[in-house]
Amino acid sequence: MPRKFRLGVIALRAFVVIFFVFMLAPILVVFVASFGTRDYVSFPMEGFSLKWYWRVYEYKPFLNSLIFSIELAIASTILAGLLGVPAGLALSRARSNLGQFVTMFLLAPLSIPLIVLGLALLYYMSLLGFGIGFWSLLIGHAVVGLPYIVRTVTAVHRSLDIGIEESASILGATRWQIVLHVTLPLIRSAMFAGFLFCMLSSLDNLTISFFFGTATTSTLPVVMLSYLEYQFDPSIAAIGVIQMLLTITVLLVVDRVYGLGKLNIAD
Amino acid sequence: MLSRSNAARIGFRGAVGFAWVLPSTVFLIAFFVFPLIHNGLKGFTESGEQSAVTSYARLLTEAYYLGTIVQTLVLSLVVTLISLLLGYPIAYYLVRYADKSANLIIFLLIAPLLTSIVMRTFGWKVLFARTGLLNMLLQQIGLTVRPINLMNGYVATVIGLVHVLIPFMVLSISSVLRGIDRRLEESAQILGANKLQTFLLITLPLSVEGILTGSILVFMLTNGAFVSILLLGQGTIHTLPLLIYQQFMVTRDVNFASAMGNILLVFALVCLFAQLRVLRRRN
Amino acid sequence: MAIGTTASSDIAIEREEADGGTASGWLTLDNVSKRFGQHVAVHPTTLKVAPGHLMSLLGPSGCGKTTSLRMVAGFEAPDTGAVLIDGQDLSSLPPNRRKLGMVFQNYSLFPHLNVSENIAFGLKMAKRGAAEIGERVRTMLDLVQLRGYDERYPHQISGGQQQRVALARALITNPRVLLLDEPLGALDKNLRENMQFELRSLQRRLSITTLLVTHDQEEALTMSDQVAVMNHGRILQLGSPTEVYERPTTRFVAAFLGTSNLFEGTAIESEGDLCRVKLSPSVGGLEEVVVPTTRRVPSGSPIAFVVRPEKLQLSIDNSRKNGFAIEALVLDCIFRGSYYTCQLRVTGSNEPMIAYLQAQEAGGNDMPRAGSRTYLSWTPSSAVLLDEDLKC
Repeated sequence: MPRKFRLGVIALRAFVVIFFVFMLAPILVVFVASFGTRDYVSFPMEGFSLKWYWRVYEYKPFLNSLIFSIELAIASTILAGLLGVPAGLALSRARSNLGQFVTMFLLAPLSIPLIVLGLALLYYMSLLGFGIGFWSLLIGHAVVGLPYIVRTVTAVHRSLDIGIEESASILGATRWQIVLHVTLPLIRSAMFAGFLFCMLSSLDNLTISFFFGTATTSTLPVVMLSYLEYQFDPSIAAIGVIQMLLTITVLLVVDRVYGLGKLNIAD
Repeated sequence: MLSRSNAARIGFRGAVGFAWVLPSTVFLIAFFVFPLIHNGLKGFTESGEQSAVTSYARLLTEAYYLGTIVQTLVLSLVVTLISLLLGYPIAYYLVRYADKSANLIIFLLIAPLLTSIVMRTFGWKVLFARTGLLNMLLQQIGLTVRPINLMNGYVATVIGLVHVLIPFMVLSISSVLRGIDRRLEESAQILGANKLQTFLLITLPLSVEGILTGSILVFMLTNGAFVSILLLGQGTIHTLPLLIYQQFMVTRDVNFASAMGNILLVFALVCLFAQLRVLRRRN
Repeated sequence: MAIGTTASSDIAIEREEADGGTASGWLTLDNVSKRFGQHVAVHPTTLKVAPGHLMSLLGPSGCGKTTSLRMVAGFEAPDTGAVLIDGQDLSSLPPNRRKLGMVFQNYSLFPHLNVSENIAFGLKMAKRGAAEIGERVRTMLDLVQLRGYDERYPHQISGGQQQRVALARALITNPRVLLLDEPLGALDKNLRENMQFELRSLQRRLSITTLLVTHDQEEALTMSDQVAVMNHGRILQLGSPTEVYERPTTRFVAAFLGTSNLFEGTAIESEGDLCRVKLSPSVGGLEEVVVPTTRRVPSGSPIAFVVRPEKLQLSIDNSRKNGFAIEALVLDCIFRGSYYTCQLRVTGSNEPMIAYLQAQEAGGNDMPRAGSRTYLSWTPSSAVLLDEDLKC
């Protein structure tokens, strides 16, 4: 292999390594900072302490909002799932213009700036009488999370051999039976990947949640944000690490039980 | 000819009928389309200070607000360009050179999405702060004696945004690159082109669709970006989302905020339309 | 690989008892047609398959055979006409209520279920009891010689075994009609030949009306009671395998089923069951020849007839047995195991002619050498007149 070419590849490889240092840096830094001993974030680190984790436990808004965020994420994913899975199954093989239009429509919330949607939803909900609170948040998060589910279900159902569903039909299965006994078991792992993305988007959603925040219905990101406006101490780091570990655990569990397979995210 | 069952008449398109899209469609119309329409129409019935016409007039004529709109677009452009320049090589490496490490790379790209955006942005603050990591390193190396203010709002914000959005660019480009037949590149090389020429004349043009998709996506997402700017901008950056936030929190001028939101919405719709054109071109 | 006779006759008896002992299973397509947008997939077609018979729809891809099958299954709705089984119109029934069995081209076994669960599926959907399901699955496994494979998954068994599972799965519900969509296409040649006999044998024993779709003429000829040759959405000829092969009615059918040598000309006169034809262009020095005909042919009308390769007789000299001879140049002779296939160039014909010689006839020294001259002839009854009015 010509030398000039090899240098090029080495340089590219080095670039990739630096890139991933860049990608992981903030996360690692936060991880390390969460064990600081000082009352503010500082380097070099003087010691190793778990006191900020204790602080998270003590500071009620953190813990309460974490629990609330998890409840909201689960609830909104269930809602988005109930709406999105049937839609995804129906649209996966639609070749008509109407079908493609509806697919695009269901994926549209991904493209709309959340801050505009949040503001619009706030006044619309108060008009409808929903006010701010759990139900409004639930609806808002479901709207934003729906595209993740539709996208994953559509993609994986499309790759399924249609002959399998036709076989089931000839063998006497009604529509419900086909979905229950054949379709769902076969798309299960991708479906759970979609659910996972939906939950993550809900957990991390700050912009929409911020409009609906009250004392009792604030989500974790909103609480973290307001905390950061006044303080710069490592407890943010600690709660961030806790959330991250929770997410990774769920991911591993779901993968172990159902297998996540390949995630087709670029589509 | 009469038929009792629609299934036989319409033909079999899979187990699920088209009616199964209705719940989600109705849901989105009710809680996505209507709120945005409601927001769009807000203020057109009032007159004077509160009216929509006044709002839009102010937004489009007063220097400060025009400047904000321009800053939003410029920031999006900057982030998009940097993401493209940095992301393309990564995508190229991922598709062409990474065999065993491909899964690892994809995981590393997605991993940041598993953490809270507040946490990631906080991480950048920590890196750049007076008592932060970079300052410590610089002092240890001996380049500086005292902590310096690395937190140039603009630079930090751009870095933060690129960090969040570059995975989208990389994945868009890599999926298109993956579809390029290697043999086209090999043919070019047999015909005498060196690696650089092959890249510029064959690979790059064929990957344009990925570049466009990724760029439009990143541009659109930066337009609506909010958290990173709020936490890293240090008050020096004024974009539309930030302004909307301030209008809402401080002045409570809802109509004005709505108007700003609508302008942002128009930008998003233009981007969506552009994306459609790119997809249509493929088909 | 014999199939257990006891098991299949058990099932045959079961079927008869279930049907009240009367002959049943007439499958009728009555004036059925289908178009997709501008493209007509199937022109109005009427077809009847007798109870217990196997009919093949044979043709190239795009000829409408698969669409016809899918209309019987219920996956496509006919634009006109109706599909009937024993006189019952199926138009209002969705696929799952038609009581049919179907084997798909790639078998389409359920990947997440094992062999016995796959086979049991139809019974499970009909909400049968576990004990009954267990027993009938066991019977089926015996029938297709897969005893012991019940716990395996589709990806763990071979293509031939998958095919048998697909068959068992289709038959377990005692369907009135069996639909086969290119069932042997994915198998390799040896396996395919064996399976042709097995499948046919099973179908006969169970006496189940069957519609088979294939592009493989050998398959159609081997397995069918009747063959319907299709092209461009129409049935060109319907008949027994022998009829369709020995007496094709159109050029397309003649060319699609086996090889044929085509001759064109004009009718000079026809008398009784013979017609004298002037060959145009003249072939290998032959100007006129007599061809058998079943109908009166007006003088001057255009004529086309075919002679099958195995009916061509080669001789070294111009001895004019049969009263005529065509001069030909041997291009090449290839040994095919049980026969030789020879390519011959003949003046007046653009295409080389093909002749088959039995290995015994032409063995050793008598095999025509490339470049040698030879004379072709055939018995008058070997020529088959084509119906030029029928569009291909």
